[in-house]
Amino acid sequence: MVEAFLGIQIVASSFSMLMLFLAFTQFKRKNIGSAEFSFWTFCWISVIGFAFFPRVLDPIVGGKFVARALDAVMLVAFIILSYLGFQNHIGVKSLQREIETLVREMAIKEKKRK
Amino acid sequence: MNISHTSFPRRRESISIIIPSCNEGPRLTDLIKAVKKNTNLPVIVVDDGSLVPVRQTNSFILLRHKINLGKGAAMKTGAEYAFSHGASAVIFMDGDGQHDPRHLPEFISRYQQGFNCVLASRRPSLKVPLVRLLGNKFASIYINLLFGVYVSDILSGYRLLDKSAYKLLIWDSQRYGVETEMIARLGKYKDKINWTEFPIESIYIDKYKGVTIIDAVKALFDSIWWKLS
Repeated sequence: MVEAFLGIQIVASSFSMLMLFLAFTQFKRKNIGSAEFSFWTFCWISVIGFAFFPRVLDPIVGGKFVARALDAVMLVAFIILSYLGFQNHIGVKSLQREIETLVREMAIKEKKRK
Repeated sequence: MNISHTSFPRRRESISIIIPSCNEGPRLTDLIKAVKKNTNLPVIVVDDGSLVPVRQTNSFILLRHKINLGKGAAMKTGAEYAFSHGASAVIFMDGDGQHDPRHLPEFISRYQQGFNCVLASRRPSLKVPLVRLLGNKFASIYINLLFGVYVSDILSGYRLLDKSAYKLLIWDSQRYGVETEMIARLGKYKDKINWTEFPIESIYIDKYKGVTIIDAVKALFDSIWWKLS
């Protein structure tokens, strides 16, 4: 059953639509593959679904550790974001190191050639 | 174990001067001229992706980074090149002219006395903004508390490292965290490195370049990681 049309639902659905659009454009530019695009599509459609039908999460939530269904969604989103942030950090660090080594080797090799 | 007092004579000819430079323009030219007036040691300039590339002349060896990596990375490139070409020690100088080449003989003298690591620390001066002075002093105390080594000016980049000290102090910081990381590592290996510092005058060149408050805060956070790692 659809809950009252609240601000959080407008925000969640607008943001999810934007993220779906971004995922689609990145897929078209071949920056992400079809599997990753499907994963993100599933994620953002799920967010829209949970925003409008939070009661579907009641069996999972069950009043055990979070008060409201949307709190559970936020918690899971935070965990996923933390993981992605960590993965990005590691990836960027690794790329930085590789670029540094490459640029250094090029500088020294170029000097030796002269 | 202290590795400072080596049995062989320490030759001044095997010291290279390394100058990382990014968009310094005429300041770099003036600095190289001043260095050559004070010493005949080989000078290695690392052009760290300057918009207008440094022009090669016969007075120095030029290494060029295709892209800007940062001061720490440029210093490492210069050191790797120097040590792989027979240098036994390197002296780092900033490319903007804030390090007076007249202090070079002091570095050489202390190196010949057997020091592995020589640091030139700027005396507090009224020409430097108060916030920088206080920040620098705070950083010295903070690093002392964390790593047990007190250096009066941890942000000065005017330093000599011999090959053995370089191997112990080799840094990961690509940008302005390099000086702080070097001191943090010096604290960790203080029993293995014979180090000294001597005072120099502060020459304050540019308030828009160099270490910013963001670099300082980042270095303070990184120092916790250096402590744990």
